[in-house]
Amino acid sequence: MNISSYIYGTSFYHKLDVRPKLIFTALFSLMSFIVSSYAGIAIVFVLPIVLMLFAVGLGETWRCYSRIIPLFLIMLLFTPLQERDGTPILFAFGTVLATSEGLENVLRIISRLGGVSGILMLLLLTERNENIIKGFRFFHFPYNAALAASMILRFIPYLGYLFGEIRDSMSLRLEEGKRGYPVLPSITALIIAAVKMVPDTASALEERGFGRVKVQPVHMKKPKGYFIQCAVCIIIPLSLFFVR
Amino acid sequence: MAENRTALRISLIVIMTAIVAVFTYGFGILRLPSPVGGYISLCDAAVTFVAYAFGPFTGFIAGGLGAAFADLIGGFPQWAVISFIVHGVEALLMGLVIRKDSTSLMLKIIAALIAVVIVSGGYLVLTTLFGLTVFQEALLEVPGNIAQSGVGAVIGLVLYSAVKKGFRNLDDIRW
Repeated sequence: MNISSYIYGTSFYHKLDVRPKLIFTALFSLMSFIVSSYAGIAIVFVLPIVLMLFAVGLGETWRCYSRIIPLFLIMLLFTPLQERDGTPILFAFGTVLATSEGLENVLRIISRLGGVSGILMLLLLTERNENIIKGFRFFHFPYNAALAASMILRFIPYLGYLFGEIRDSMSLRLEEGKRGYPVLPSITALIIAAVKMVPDTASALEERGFGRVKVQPVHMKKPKGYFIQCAVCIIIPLSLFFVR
Repeated sequence: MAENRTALRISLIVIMTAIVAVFTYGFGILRLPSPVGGYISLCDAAVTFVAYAFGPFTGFIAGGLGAAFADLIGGFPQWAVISFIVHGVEALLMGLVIRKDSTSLMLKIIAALIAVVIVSGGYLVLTTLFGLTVFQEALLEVPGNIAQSGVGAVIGLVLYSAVKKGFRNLDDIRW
């Protein structure tokens, strides 16, 4: 069972070092909150889509965005497109249907949701979980937190697999002809199995030297063109400031 | 000895976070698609269980992180921070209200009400405040969140009793 969203690829975004990628993701997400011009809104919405298309292809891009399209539609339906003092841009039978300011407001929220979702998904699609954690460690993310994060990412699929086994065996206890599985006994069994793992996991950590071995700072090799990558990943999101 | 406790604490938080994430993400456990995007899951049952069994602090970290990890791996990364805050605070407050030595039904009802208010109100306020949606749309999510957190809190309390029967040393792990 695999919970990683990573998709193997050789695109330029895949080749980008994880550190500039983390900087780009953080800065782009932050900058998406300050844009309000039509140009800025369009860039925030379109840039992650274009990057995702180049990195993982049309199918995967559609799979990611199809989850949030219903949200866009609901926003369009439930947000008033007209403002009292706005500039009218769409009329029907003498009634103002949309004003420039109302439309801008809706598009801004839609582009922000699409932009932040897209850029975060892009990071998860093009970088392995362990590299992301290593990247965070480089930026002085605490050792214990990084250790916990990597352990969580290993335990989630394991417990998911374990639940599948428990559910299958529990379903055998049902009367013949009945389908499904007894929910409460199954999730109770899963939690008991998980709680019983706690002391063993703690012992395993101690055996590996947890608390005794001095934690070494993370040294990551700087690939060729690292500083150019960093500069580009800082300049592109910050340039949104000029079209805000 | 202090380090032994740290290893135990980390292990407990890691495994309980994974449990909350599994309950939230699904893996065959009940998970219904929400008509307005996202999904309804048994997340709050796991959050309630962790808060009740292991206290407010473990509940805060495991509840918040578990929900956030489920969002990250489930394709809803934009909600991860909001889920962390909402479910973390939910577990923290529930853990503070329902003490293990107390069996008062009234406290359990208050804790369940806290879960309902925090989850439905938290998502409503924070998704609007973070600018990820509009208020009208966030309002549509409220009934689903009320149902999810209310039912989840009750299931979580039932789960605690069931797990306690099956694993009597549960209190030894608490810190």
